[in-house]
Amino acid sequence: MQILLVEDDAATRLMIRRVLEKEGFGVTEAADGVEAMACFGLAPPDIVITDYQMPRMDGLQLCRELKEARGGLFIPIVMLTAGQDSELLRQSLQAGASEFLNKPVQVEELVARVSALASMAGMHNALAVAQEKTLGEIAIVKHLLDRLTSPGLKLMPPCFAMETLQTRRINGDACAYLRGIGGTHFGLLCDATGHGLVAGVSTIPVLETFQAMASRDVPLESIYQEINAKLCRLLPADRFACLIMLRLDPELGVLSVLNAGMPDIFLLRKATHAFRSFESRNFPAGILANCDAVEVEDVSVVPGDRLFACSDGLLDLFDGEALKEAFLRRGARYSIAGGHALLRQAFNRRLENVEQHDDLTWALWEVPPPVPMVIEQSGQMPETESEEGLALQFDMDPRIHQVRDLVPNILGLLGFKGVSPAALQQLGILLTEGFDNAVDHGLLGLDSTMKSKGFEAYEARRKVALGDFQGGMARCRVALHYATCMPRRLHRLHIEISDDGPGFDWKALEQAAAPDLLAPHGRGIPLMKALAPDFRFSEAGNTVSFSLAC
Amino acid sequence: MSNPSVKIQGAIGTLAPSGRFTAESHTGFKEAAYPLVENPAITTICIDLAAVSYMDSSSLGSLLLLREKANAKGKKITLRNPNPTLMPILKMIKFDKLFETSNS
Repeated sequence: MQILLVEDDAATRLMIRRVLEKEGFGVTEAADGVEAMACFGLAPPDIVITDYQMPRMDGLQLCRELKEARGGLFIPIVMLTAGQDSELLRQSLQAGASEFLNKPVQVEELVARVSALASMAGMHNALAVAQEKTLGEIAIVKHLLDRLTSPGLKLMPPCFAMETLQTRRINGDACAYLRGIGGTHFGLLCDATGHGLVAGVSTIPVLETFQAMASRDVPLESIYQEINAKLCRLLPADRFACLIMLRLDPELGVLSVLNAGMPDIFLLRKATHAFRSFESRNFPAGILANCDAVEVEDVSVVPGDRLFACSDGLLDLFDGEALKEAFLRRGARYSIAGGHALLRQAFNRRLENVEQHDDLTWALWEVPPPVPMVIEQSGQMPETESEEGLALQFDMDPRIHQVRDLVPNILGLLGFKGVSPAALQQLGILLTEGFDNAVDHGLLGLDSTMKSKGFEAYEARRKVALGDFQGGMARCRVALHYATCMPRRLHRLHIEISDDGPGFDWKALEQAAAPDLLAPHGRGIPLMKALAPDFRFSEAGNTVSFSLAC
Repeated sequence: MSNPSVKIQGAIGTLAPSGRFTAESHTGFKEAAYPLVENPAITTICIDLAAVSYMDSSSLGSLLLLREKANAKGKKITLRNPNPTLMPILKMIKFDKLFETSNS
């Protein structure tokens, strides 16, 4: 501990110095306020002891200047005074002094006072160091969280608006939006237990898993199961995360909603102004390790339909359930363009009257108009001799597995084997379309024109067909062809998709008129042909094959 | 929140927290609840929420933690008398499926 001792009388100074040095303190001496400020400038002490009456600059003025100079540091000042002038005490306290000692100085009292101040300064400074460390750690987590959410935010489409009203620097609410393979839209709203740093850290595995899986167009059920398994494994028993996940297939006009522990989500139909709500039907993620029954609701939507969701910080703002519901319904009435400012206003008005305990995030989402898919031809390489270096084959029983679950797995494996992201993107569409055809039409015998009667009707028919299904497989073989063996250079993928069904009259299809790319059915095969020009049917029509440059 | 009151009747131990049940209440709740978990005479721990005005997510976590400890000892946790504001929250996160919930 370093003490700056300011006293114009050399004998007193020497006496105090000896006492303090005996107690183990380091002492710097100054004869007046001006000298003291010069010493302070060289090295700030831990404690200052100053006389009141001194030439050039007195103790009171020194207190004021020190208060200015020390900034955020805690440096206690002991003032030595000749009497108990209460006005002087008041002024000194105001100027920044923390203790007073009467002159002539009593040695025991001096030592006791200075020691008490020294331990206080020690604690204060330890606290400051700890705080700085914590702020540093918070900054790292904040950086990580910003990185995790920003790729989604950069892609934020004009059909999406959101905001978090947070109680602390880092919050337990997280939001993400991204596009999946084949033009699907995915949205996530997550609220982790607790507040601040602890809650923020819990959202990291949620965001990461969501981004990795949604970008490959994995079904919401599987994303939820993976997030749930991860949180059960990583978080302590008292921590969990509530989730809302959305998937929109703009071409089919199907919105899938998964609500796990969040307040009701409201969908406002543009045409009829009718509301549809989605209540929580699943456990928050991270509670039940074995979570087989995941409930996802699928509904038909049209462009302009709007969805409004909120994290449960909302519960702070409303006492009654009815009031809250009215507010959520109102949220869906705002347009994306003008809604942002109005919603913020509405929330802030509420917040003025209520103490906010929890972070609050709202998200408003409007179903965008479908954009006809732009097909980018992959660079057509001249067909040269190449070696088949690796082949993967998947046989799938549609009663046990879903196409949407399987395709991301195949793509994941091929990604590890060096197939480029661009080729994977195209392959994702080709495999999904091909497998869907093999299962729905080849095995289950469904007619794709059924889709024009609406998605729900088609799904209902499909469920019946799946129940009656007597067995059989849909198969996919992907062969990786290499241009050179050493070094290993990938050249093309050869893909064959087949099923155990009877096949169909594909020649009739070839002669039909050009399809309407925005109609709900009949797009699959033209799309596959556009992506892979060598696409062809086998004679029976239950096998298709094509290749893709990579 | 003051520490929850504890009442033991036969094999049922009842805990009654009151006021705001939040992260700050965790220590008091734990101190009151864990002896019941360790008490071999008790088979059911009942959390009476009648006097609780508000619960945050941390206090819901405290219930999960207690459930884990109790289940490990083969004991059951039940929730009783949540007020009309709490019930929708418990339903929303499906705690009514995780704990036996009733009004007396």
